[in-house]
Amino acid sequence: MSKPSKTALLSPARTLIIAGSTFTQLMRMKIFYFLLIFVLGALVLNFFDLPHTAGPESTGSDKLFSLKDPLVGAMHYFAIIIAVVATALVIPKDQEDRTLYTILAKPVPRLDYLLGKLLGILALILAGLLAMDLLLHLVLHNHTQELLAQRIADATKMGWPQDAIDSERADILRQGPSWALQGAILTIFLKAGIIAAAALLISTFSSSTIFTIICTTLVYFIGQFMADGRDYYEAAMQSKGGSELTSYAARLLSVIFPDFRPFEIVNAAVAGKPFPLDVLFKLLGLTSLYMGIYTVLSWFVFSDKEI
Amino acid sequence: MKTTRKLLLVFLALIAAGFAKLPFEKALTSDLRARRLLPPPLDLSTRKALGQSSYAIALGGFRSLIASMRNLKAHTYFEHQEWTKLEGEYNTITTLQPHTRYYWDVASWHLAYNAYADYGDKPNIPDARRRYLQKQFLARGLRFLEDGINNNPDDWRLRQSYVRILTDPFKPNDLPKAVATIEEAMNRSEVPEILERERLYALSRIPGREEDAWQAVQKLWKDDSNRSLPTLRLIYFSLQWKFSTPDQRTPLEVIFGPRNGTNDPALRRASRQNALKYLSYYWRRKREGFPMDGVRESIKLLLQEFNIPAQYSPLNPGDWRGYPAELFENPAAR
Repeated sequence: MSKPSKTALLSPARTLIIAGSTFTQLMRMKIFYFLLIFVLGALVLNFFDLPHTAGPESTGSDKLFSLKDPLVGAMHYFAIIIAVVATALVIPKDQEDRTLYTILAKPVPRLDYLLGKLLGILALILAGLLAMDLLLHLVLHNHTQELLAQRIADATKMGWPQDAIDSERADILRQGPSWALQGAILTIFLKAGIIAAAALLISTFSSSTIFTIICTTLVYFIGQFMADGRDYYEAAMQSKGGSELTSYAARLLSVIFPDFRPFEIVNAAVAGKPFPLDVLFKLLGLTSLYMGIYTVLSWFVFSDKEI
Repeated sequence: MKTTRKLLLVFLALIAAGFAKLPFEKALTSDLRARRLLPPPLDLSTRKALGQSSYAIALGGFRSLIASMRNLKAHTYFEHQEWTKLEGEYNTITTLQPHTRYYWDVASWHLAYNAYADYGDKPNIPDARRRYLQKQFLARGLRFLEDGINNNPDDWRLRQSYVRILTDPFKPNDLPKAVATIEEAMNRSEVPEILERERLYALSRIPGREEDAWQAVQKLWKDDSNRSLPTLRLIYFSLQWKFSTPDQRTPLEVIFGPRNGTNDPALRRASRQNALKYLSYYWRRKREGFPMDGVRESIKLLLQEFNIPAQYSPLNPGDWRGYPAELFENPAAR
């Protein structure tokens, strides 16, 4: 008598199929219409200068900063909103369409299902960010080259020494397309990944999309400042004294939320500062840790969920 | 397992994981703040200035975006010359984005140059009040740069902007402070030669520091690319007059002409004409405090050499409008 075949706990092929269908499902929800607003914004910024002032000694690189700052801000918004809303939608939508029952009635481990959903959402965010990144770089490259040619020609005409021309060039290029800017966009993606994983965890025990959206939004906002609040409280405790119990309560409350402070490095990179590689690796590690924890916990909650 | 029990376990797991990652996150945040890649947390005064909704957005990780929007608002204050409101706006913007040079620089420029000039021109203000307001806004412009430098100590361009205000000949200046600021920048990190030149320009204007200026200009003179810069040539000319004997001095036509001099009479003449023009304009900048050793004497000599009528002499008191081009182009026509 042959033994019944055992289903592997995790199958990359199955996960990828679910990820692909999730991606298609979300695309059909016309989520990428957001991109039209971004394209419009980029085109407006490409052809019309924002009201802008700079001193007579300005190299003009601040114009590039004024161009990329709102665009990267829009990318940030896009990534976070999609991470929250799309993730909150997928499981309830599968339940509503009865797809969930069809999938889980088959020998598909729930971990595969959850991972597939998460990967599908991440693919959607990544595709959106890549499209916007491409457009941002086209606009930024165009403006950088134009500004560079104009400033260098002026400097040469005025007989500037080579070191002054080099420093002008470096200042302009720092605000143009750079690896630091790519690092910033990758960081936005990582942050959105954590938010998506947190939303997935919440949606495994929540039956309402709105509840998931509200809770995840709160997690996002609290994650932005809770750790600062905790540090401030701890410092105040050390200097003024206070009850140990309150201190533990504050710490307890803060540790359950992700700490998004290190991800704020995006602002520095947009301002033209370098993005150290070691920081990027640390952020990658931190993101993997959060996503790993949230996915395992999602699986734990979802494992014997009645369908 | 019941859902409540499961959620309790999830909560406990999150707490355990949270405590495990806490030291790593704290260390990373401190490291990024030490490298000035993260801004400090927002305080209550920023909350008041931003208003509830903007504060919530800024707190939600969009500080940069809010700063950009506030910068547009500050532009309208500039257009309406509402300098106090503009200052308040930039206080908020720089709190949101303390590591963005542009905001510090532009805030300082608006206050130390635009507001300063605006109060100089505004009608119907008593003179004493006008001077008081100008002094106030100049100080506020400088304060923005001081705060900017404190927040971005390795940004040499902020120090350059600071030095330019301190050495501005049309404002009350502080040359020793300007020199100290550049030297601090030079001690901190590698800075471009442009800052060394700015140091020389400030140093040469400080009475009693001429010898230091002479050392500095000799060092810069060794670099060929600096020899095309008019102010540097003139400071070199004047200080070598003061510190060198006549036989040690670099000839006029070498300072203001080709590096190794020339035997071509036409080129020699052109170099000496060049010297006369440069020295004349330099002489008119006497009030800025640049060293003027040998300048008057050389102008006199060159005026005679080129038969320039006395009416065109820059040494005459009152306005001087330069040399008409035909004086040099066609001497026979005079």
